[in-house]
Amino acid sequence: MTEAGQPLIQIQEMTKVFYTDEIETHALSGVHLSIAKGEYVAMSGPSGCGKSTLLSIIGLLDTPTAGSYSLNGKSVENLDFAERSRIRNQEIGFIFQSFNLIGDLTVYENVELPLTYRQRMVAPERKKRVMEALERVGMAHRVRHYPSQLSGGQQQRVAVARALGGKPSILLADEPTGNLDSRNGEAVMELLQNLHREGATICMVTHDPRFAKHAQREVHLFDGKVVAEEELKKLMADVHA
Amino acid sequence: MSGLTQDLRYALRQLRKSPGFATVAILTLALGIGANAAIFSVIQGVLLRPLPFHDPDHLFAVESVSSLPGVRAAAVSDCVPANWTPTANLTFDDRPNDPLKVPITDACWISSEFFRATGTALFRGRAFSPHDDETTAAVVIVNRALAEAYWPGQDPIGKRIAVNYVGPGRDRTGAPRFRGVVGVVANVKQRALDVAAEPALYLPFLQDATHHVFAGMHLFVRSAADPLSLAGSLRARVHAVKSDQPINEISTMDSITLQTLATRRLSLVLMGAFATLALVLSALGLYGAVAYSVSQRTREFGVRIALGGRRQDVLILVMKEGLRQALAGIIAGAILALAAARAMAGLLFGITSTDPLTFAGVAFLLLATAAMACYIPARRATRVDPMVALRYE
Repeated sequence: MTEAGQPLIQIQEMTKVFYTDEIETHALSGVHLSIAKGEYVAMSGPSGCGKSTLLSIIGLLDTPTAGSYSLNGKSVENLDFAERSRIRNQEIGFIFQSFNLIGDLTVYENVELPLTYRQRMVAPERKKRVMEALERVGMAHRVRHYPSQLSGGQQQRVAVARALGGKPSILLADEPTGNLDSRNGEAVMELLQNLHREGATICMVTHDPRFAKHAQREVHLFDGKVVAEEELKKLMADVHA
Repeated sequence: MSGLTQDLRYALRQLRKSPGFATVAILTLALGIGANAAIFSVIQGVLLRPLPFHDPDHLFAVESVSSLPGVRAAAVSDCVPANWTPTANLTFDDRPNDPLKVPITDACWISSEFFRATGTALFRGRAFSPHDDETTAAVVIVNRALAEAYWPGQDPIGKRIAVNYVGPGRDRTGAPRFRGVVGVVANVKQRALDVAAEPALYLPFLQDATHHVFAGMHLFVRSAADPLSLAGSLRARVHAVKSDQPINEISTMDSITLQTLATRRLSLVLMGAFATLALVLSALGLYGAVAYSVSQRTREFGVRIALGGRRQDVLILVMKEGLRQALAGIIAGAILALAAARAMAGLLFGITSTDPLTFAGVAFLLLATAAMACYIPARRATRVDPMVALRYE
């Protein structure tokens, strides 16, 4: 494992180009990013700036067109599908904007789901992990409920528990408050802050500056590039002008 | 065990959630197993359990009394297997004989080469020889069914029975003499292919004690070559012996046995068409249900893959869910088929209407078909891009 302060994620010269018919779209253009273990990073920027693309590559849901990416000291940009699945399952915890709980499964089963993909994890160990995670987010009393029986805030808490259950190296949150009202949004932000205080590494995508301020560090993206905050303000002003 | 419980829980949940699709799958599979149980039983009776002859297409039956050289084997008999047989009453010398309950059995007068000509297997003892005539001890050969019916668990060789022939041309005077059992042969369906083999015995026609005229004997010839090419020479040989001997018909044993099945063959064709249709409908119904379910669950599969599920995990998930429905349909269909078994009993032969092997075979066929129907949408589910998990709806 990476020691605290050492880079957990290191991205260099990363580009991502999408090809639609004959049109090239440069979603990322030479991005450098480093996230240390235990760090809480918020990625922000206007719509279409490439933050979700970057998050999907960090989460091994997508592959870069060029550049290097190392996770926990291991180069991961050219892995095959099965190996990417294994690393996603063991190293990365996802928190999605629309929660993405599976409606046919109970709260318990939803949290247990990623653990069932670990071939060597036995049922008692899974149960222990699931209950621990649900207790951390204050949802242990709802194990038998289905997602449709929960509020949006509760669903997102369950989604956080699902991400925590596998004890991942990093939590990736994609607009975790985007589907919540402000009160529930604040509650989820508080939950992430608590997790960070307990040592979790978090990388969150948000377009809301209020929530970005909860992070230790903000990374601003504009047109597929990482830019300084001041530069972003200037660019945004130019756009609006 | 916990996996099975979880599977059952999911299955019930799925049924509650989408009873329509589950019903479609269950009904089509029930239809499939019902129709296929019937067709399988008929196929088993006709194709898998035919006459115990080898090469019946190389066997002739010629209505005449003669013998022919230049062929593999030739014999005469007043029976035609799978077509017609006279009967006889039996008297035993090893037990009391109740005159009010006289055992009746199929009985054929045959020449010594009959079993070789027809290819009927001899299990115990010996076949007849040309020396089994009026001057030697009276003998009889029984089939397995007769041996098991009257001497269960015993060796029938050496047992003695009196055979009172009741076929055409019999002489009613005098008590029949006792005959020693010298051999046991395979069961042969004497009346029709769709009528089970019954106890039967064979008597050497040179030991005919009834003085009947053998007006309608059949000559069985096993040919070495194409049997129909021998028809002309057969007629010539018969007429060389007796020029005015009428020969009603020369036909292969295959065609004789098939004639007995004409009505059932029609039923078979119709049932076969319906069974095939039912099977195709079952497969299409299940395919449609699973394909629709997969299309509705694209996001779920994307999330599963995003959370670390491998492609084979998704494949197994979809296959398991489809096969669970199929299994429910097969169980429901089996129950329906059992209920309908009485109605179908008239169409079945060689097996009971609740034959476990038939049900197992049909269930396996349907399960295999269901697996194929589920596989295509399941493969499609494995190709879902996990990026769908990040897209907001």
